[in-house]
Amino acid sequence: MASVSTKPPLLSIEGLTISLPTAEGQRAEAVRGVDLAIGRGEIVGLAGESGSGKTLTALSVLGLLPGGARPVGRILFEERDLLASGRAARSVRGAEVAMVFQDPMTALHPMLSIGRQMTEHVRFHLRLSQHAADTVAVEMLDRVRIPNPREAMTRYPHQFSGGMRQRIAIASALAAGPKLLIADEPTTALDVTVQAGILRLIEGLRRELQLSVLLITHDLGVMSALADRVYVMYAGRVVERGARADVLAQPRHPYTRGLLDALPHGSPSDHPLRALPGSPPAIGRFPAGCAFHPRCRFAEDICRADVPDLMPVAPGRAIACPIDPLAAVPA
Amino acid sequence: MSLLSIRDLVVRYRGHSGATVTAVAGCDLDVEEGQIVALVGESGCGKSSLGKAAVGLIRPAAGSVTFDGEPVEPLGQRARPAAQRRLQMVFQDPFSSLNPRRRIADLIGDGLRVSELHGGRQLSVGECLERVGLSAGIADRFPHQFSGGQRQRIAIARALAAQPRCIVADEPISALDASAQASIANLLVSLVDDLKVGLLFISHDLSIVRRIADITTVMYLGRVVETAPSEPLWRAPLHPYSAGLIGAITEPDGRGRMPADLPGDVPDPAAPPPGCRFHPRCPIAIDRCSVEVPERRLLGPGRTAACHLAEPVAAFV
Ligand SMILES: Nc1ncnc2c1ncn2[C@@H]1O[C@H](COP(=O)(O)OP(=O)(O)OP(=O)(O)O)[C@@H](O)[C@H]1O
Ligand SMILES: Nc1ncnc2c1ncn2[C@@H]1O[C@H](COP(=O)(O)OP(=O)(O)O)[C@@H](O)[C@H]1O
Ligand code: SF4
Ligand code: SF4
Ligand SMILES: [Mg+2]
Ligand SMILES: [Mg+2]
Repeated sequence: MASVSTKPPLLSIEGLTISLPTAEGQRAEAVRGVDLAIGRGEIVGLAGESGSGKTLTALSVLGLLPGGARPVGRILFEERDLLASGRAARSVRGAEVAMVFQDPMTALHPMLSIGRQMTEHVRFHLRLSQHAADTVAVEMLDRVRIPNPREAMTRYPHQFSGGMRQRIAIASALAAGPKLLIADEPTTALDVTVQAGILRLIEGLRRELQLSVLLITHDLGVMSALADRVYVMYAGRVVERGARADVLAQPRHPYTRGLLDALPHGSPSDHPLRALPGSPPAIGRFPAGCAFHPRCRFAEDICRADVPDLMPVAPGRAIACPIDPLAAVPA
Repeated sequence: MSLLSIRDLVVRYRGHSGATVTAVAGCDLDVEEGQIVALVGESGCGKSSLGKAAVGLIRPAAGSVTFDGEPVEPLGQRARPAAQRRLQMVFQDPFSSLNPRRRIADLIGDGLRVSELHGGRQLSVGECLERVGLSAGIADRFPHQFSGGQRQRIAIARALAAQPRCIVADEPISALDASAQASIANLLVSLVDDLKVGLLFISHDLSIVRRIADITTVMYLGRVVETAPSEPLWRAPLHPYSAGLIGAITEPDGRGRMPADLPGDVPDPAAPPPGCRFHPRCPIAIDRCSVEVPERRLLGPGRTAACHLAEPVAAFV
C-alpha cells in the first residue's frame, strides 16, 4: 500500500532540522533537513542505528523536544503547522497524535490504577463524564485483549507483565481516538513471542480504525512485518526511502545494505554475517560530505566533499548517494 | 564425559513474599570442546540462573556441575582451584561488567595472572587485544572511552587472557546495535573454531542462535523442553514451545509476513502449572498434559524433547 495518493498526507514533515546545545556551549545539529510524510491508515517505518535522530524527529511532532532543542522547518498535521503555532501543537498532542515508548512505564503512572489514568486522559481530551469515560476505557482495554477489562481497571501497572503493560499503554494512547500513533521501539524490550502479539495488535488497529502509525525501530524484521513504507536515517539525515518490499529486499543505499547484511536471516548458508565496520558518529562529530563515508566500502573522493541530496531513483523511492553502487546489483 | 556437564540442576531463590522461586527445576546440559551450545527461552525462564550456577557464581539447591571431570565449587569461601579458572563468564552488559576506574591493561592483567596459575604459555595484553580485533595500543585507556561493541570485545579479551577451555556468555550481544552484534557473533565463532574452547551461549534471539550454535537447548519455566542440533531443530521443532518461538521470529525480507502469536504470558515460576508447565499456552494440549509431567525422550540423533505428543523423527527408532 505505498501511498502515492493524490490526497494530502495526514502528517508532512518538511525540512526539519533540530539543533541541540553541546557541552562546549555550542550548538550541534542532530536532525538535518528531514522530509517525511504519512498518509491516512498508513504505517511508516523509521529505521537507523542508535543516535541517528529517530526519536528526536518523533518528539518534535508532539512538541516534546528536550529543553534547549531548537527545531526549524515545517510539521504539517492536516494542514496546521505544529512548529509555527504552539496552540496547534498543544491541541493535537494526546488527542490527535499519541505516542507509546519502548518502556511502557514511561507512559503509565506506577501509583495510579489503570482505570484512573485511562479515564483522566479520556475525560480531559474528549470532555466526557466519568461514566462515559469508563465505558471508553473498558472498550479500549478489551480491544487490546486485556482479559477481564473491568477488573483490570482497578489494578496497578506492576501487577501486569511487560507485554500486558505495553498493551495497556497502547490502549491508553488510543483511548482519546488519535489519528496518528507514534510508536518508538514498542517491542524492543519484549520477548519475540510477546512482540508478535503487539505487532498483530498494531496492524489490527490500523485496519479497523484507519489509524496512521509512525513506527520507530532499528529492528528491520519488525519493520518488515508492519511498515508499508520505510525511511532509513543516518547521522540525522534520511538516506533512503521507499516501499517496504523495495527497501528491504533490494536495498539501494550502501548503509541500508550494510544494516541488512549484518542481520542473521534466511538460512545460514545464504550469506555470512557481515558486520558494518566502525560505529555511528556522535552528534557534533558527523563526518563532512556523506556522513557514512568512513564506514562505506564504496566511498570515493567526492563522498568526502559533497553532502549527497536525497534523489528520486524510482517511483516512491529515493536515496542519498550519487555513486549508487547497488543500482544494478541483485540483493 | 563432556567438558562442561550439568545434571539435574536446581536453583532456588527466596522471593520477596517469602515464597520460594524455583528458577531452574532440574536441567541437564552438556558442552563439548570446540562446540557452541545455545540456551534460549523467554525472559525469566531461568537461563541466567543456569549460567551462573554453571560457573559457580550461585550455589545450586540440588544437582551437579562438573568441568573437566571435576565438580565446580561455588565461589566464595575458598580460592578456586586453578584448573577451574579455565571456565570463564562473559556478561550481557559491557558497561557494568568492566570496572570503569581500571585501565584496559589491568583488567586483562587479572586474566593473565589466572593463566599463570594453571601454567601454559603466557599471552601478553597486546596479544589478547589483537585476538579480539582491537589494537594493542589501547591498553592504557579506560573502558568508558569505548563503544558498547568495543567494550564487549575487551570483556572477551579479559576472559581469553585466562586461557579458558570453556566460556559461558550470558546475552553477550543483546545490548549492542545490530552491526556490533554481527561482529561479536563472528568473533565468538572464530574463537571457538581456532582455540577449541566450548561456548555456552545464552540468548533470547533465535535468529542469531541458528547462525552460530551447533546445538540449541530450549528452556521453558525452569526446564529444558528440547535439545537438538540447531538446523534440524529450526527446520522441524519437536516441542510445541520451540515451534512457537521459531514462528514468532520476524524476517527482514520485506515480504510483510506477520509473525505467529504465541498467546499468554510466562507463568509465575513460584507457582508453575501442574503437569506440563507449558500446557496453559500449548495449542495442542490434551487432558493428560495438565496432570502428567512429560519426560525427556530421545527422539532423533542428538534430539530430545519433553512432550507427551512429540513423535520420533522419521527413520529413528
Ligand atoms: N536532550 C538531549 N541533549 C543533548 N543531546 C541529545 C538529547 N537528546 C538526544 N540527543 C542526541 O541527539 C542524537 C539523536 O538522538 P535520538 O534520541 O533522536 O536518536 P535515536 O535515533 O532515537 O537513537 P536510539 O536508536 O538510540 O533511540 C543523539 O546523538 C543523542 O545523543
Ligand atoms: N537473585 C534473585 N532473587 C530472587 N529471584 C530471582 C533472582 N534472580 C532471578 N530470579 C528469578 O528467577 C527466575 C529466572 O530468572 P533468570 O535466571 O534471570 O531468567 P532468564 O535469564 O532466563 O531471564 C525469574 O523468575 C527471576 O525473577
Ligand atoms: S555517497 Fe559515497 S560514502 Fe556515501 S553511501 Fe554513497 S558511496 Fe558510500
Ligand atoms: S506435553 Fe502436552 S501441553 Fe506439553 S507441550 Fe506437549 S502437547 Fe503441549
Ligand atoms: Mg530513540
Ligand atoms: Mg537473563
